[in-house]
Amino acid sequence: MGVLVIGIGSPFGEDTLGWEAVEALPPVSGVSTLTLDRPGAGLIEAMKEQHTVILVDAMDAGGPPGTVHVLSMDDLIHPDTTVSSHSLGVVGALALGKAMGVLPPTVHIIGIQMGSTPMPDEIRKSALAQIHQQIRDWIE
Amino acid sequence: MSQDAPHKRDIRIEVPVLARVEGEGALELKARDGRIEALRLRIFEPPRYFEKFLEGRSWREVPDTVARICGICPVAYQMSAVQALEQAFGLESSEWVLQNRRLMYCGEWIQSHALHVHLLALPDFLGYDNAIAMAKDHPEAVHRGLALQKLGNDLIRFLGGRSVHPVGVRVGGFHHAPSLEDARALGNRLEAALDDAEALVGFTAGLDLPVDEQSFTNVALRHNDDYPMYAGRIVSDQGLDISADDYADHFVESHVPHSTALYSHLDGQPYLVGPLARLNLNLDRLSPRTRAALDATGLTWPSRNMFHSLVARAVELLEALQEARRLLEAYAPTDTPYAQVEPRAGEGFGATEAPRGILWHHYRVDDEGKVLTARIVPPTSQNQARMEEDLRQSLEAFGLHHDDDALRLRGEMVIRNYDPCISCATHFLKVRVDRGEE
Repeated sequence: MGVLVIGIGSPFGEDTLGWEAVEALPPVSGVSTLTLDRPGAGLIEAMKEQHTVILVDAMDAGGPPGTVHVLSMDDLIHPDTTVSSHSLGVVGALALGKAMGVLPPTVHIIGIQMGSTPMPDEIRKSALAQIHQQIRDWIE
Repeated sequence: MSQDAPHKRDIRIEVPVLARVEGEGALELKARDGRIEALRLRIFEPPRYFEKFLEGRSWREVPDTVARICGICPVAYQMSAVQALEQAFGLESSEWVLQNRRLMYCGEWIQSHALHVHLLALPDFLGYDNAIAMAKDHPEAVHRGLALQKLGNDLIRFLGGRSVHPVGVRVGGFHHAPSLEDARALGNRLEAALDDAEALVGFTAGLDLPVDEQSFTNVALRHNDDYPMYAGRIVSDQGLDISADDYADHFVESHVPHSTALYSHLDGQPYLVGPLARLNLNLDRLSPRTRAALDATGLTWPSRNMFHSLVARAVELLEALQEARRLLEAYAPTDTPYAQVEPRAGEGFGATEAPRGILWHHYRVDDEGKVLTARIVPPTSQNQARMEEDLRQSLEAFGLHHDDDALRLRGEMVIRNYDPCISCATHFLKVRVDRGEE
C-alpha cells in the first residue's frame, strides 16, 4: 500500500506528456511510478491494492497548451459515462472500477492541456514543474 | 403515439446513436399496418481512405499502417496483409512463423471476445443499460471479462511488443522471438484461466437468450486440421469452396447512399461472417474439451439463432485459450524469426478470421515491393446487408406492437450480436422509427 503515480499516454505527438511528467518526477520515498500505453480497462488492474493513485494524462480540457488541470473523479465521471468496444478510455475505466468497488481510496487526476503541435520548451518545463509540485503537495 | 390497433399502428423509430458498438451509425425504421416498409442501417463514419494511403508505400510499412485501421483487431489486419504480400513475393513462411502467427491471433480473439461478451453484450441479457450499471450488481462477471481480456492483450504483447497497434509483425515473420521463460510464464497463466473460460460457455448458454431462428448463409474459413484463424479456404453452407484468390469472383461490394461502409453480397445475397458462422461451419474442428463444453450446453448446433453468437464467442474464447496454451507449450525461441524478403512485382491475396469474421486483403506491388493498389474488405462491411436483413426479420418476429423503447432496445441487441466495428467498416448507432403518424 503506497502512492502510485501513473503516466498515461501513447507514443504519438503530445500524447506523451503524461509519460514525460512521470518519467521526470524526482524519486520520492514511498512513491512508485508507472507509465501505461493506452491501458483501457487495464488501468483498473494497475490501480489495484494501492492506497493513493495519481493519474497524469494529456487532455483537452480548455486553456492554452501547457495548462495544468487538477481534477477529481467526480469531475470526470458523469451519469451517462459508458463503455464501447474500442474506446474504453480513462474515464470509462475509472467509472467501471468505481462501480466494481475496486478503486483505491484516493485517486487524484492531473491533466495537461495539449495542443495540436508540440508546445515550446519553456511552457513544457513550466507545466512539468507545476505537476511535480502538485504531486509533492499531495504526498506531503 | 398512434391510437390504431397495436398490430396496425404506424411506426417510425430513430436510434440516432447506437450504444455499445464501435463507431458512429444509426438505425431508421418505418412501419405501417404491422409491416416494415423501410429499414436502413446508416453508417456515417467518415471514409478513412486507408487503401489509398497505402498506395506508393513500401511493403515494409504495410503491417504497421494497416494495424492502425482498428484498435481492437490490429492483429487481423497485420495477418491478412503479410499473408497477401508474401504470396506476391513468392515467400513461404516457416513453420515457426505460422505457429506464432496463430498464437498471436489467439490473443486477439481472447481479448476481443472477452470484452464483447462481458462488457458489451451481457448488460442486454442481465437487464442493464451498460456495463458500468451492471458492474455494481455483477462485479464478478466484469472481473472475469477484464482478466480474460488482459490475458489476450498480454499474449498479443508477447509477440507484438505492445497490445494496441502492435509492432512485432513484419512481412516474412516477426521482428524478434520472445524468450522461453516468457512463454512458460504466459502458458501457466493461460492454463489457470481455462476453467473460467470453460464455465463461460455454460454461463452464456444459460442466459435467457431470445429465440429467433432465421435463414442465412454462413461463410467462414475452413482449414484441413485446425479451427480456422490464420489460414483456410473460404467456404459456405451453400457449397462455396474457394481460395482467397477467387474472393472477388463471388463477393461483390456496392455503395448505398445511406452508408459510408460498402455492402457486400455473395452471389447477390447477404451472408453472415463471424463467430456464429465460423462455429456453424467448423464444429468438427473444435478440440475435445471445447466440443464437450459446447455439447454440455444442450443447444443444437449448427444454430440459426443469431443470439447464439454470444455462446459462439464464449466457445471460441475457450478454443483460443487452449490453442494458445498448446502453442506456448511447444514454443522454442529461434535466431531466425523472419525470412529475408526479396520483393518482386506481382499480386497477392490474404484471408484470415478476424474476431468479427473474414478479413480479406488484395495488393498489387511493383518490382520494389511498393504498393500499387490495395483493397481491404473487413467483416463488418460483409455483415452490413445481413444486419439489415436480420433487423427486418427480428423486429417483425419480436412484434411491432411493442413500444418504441422496446423496439429500439431489440434493434440494438440484434446489431450488437454482430459486434460491429464501424471504424473498420469505415463507424455507429442512432435509431429512428417512423410509424407514419401525423
